Amino acid sequence: MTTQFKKGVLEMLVLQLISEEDKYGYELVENVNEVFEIKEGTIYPLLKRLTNEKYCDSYFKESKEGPARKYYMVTRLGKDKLKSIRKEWITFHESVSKFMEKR
Amino acid sequence: MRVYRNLWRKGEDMNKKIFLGTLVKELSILKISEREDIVKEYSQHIDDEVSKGKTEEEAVANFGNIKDLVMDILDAYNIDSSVVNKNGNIIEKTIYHFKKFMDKVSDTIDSLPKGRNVGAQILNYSVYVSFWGILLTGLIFFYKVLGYVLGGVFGGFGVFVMVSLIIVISIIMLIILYNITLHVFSKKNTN
Repeated sequence: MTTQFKKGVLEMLVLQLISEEDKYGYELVENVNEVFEIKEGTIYPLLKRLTNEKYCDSYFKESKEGPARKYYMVTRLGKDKLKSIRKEWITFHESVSKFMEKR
Repeated sequence: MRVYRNLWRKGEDMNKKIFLGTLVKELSILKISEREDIVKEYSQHIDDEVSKGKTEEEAVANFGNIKDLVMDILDAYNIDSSVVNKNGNIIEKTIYHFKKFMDKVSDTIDSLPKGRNVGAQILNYSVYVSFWGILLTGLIFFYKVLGYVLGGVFGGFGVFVMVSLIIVISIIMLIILYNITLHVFSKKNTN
């Protein structure tokens, strides 16, 4: 069941992370793993989807340790999306917690 | 066939080369540039994991079930159809659906009770045997009817067509049998 929760929240976390700083896939996996454990495979399809939906964009940046890395950055549309997901999450989180606390 | 067999393998069996090779084959419906893009990212990810001390096999295993992974990746593209390879031919699409069917079959076999107790083994074998019994009966019926129809309409040529069909279908059946056997018996060994 936790997997379902994670999937729903993952998009929000990823958008939040790249809105703070441009990141590449591996970095994002590490950051999200600090919050909860995810299967690393799920990150890249999500990033693909976000790119196709124009919520984020990608570019290549040279790195000293090896080949150029693909970095992800948030778009204007993505920032708006993040705002609305955040609002939804807060409301959702509050009402569920309130409900569970009373029992 | 070898790449196809990889769909049945557990993640731990795969090294980077086999994993990426499987991805390339499974994502053949996508544009080459998109496919290369995806493969490169996964390749880099594995390299990063390896530089942190993991083995290739562990890094690949962390991606989870490759079948599910491919589904997720293709899902992401349903949104934007302009990246789907317009040359993805009918053969590739047929093979793709055939594999999906095989996955369903394997999942059904998976959901059967496993274990050392005799009852479960008997159940496994009887399902396995009945599956083939039904398939063979259906095929014999099909050959008979087809032979009758074609012989009646086309005469000698009809027989030729029928024989070719039998050969093709038998080959396909043998492939299915081979893969199911591989799957059933490799799963048994991991009990």
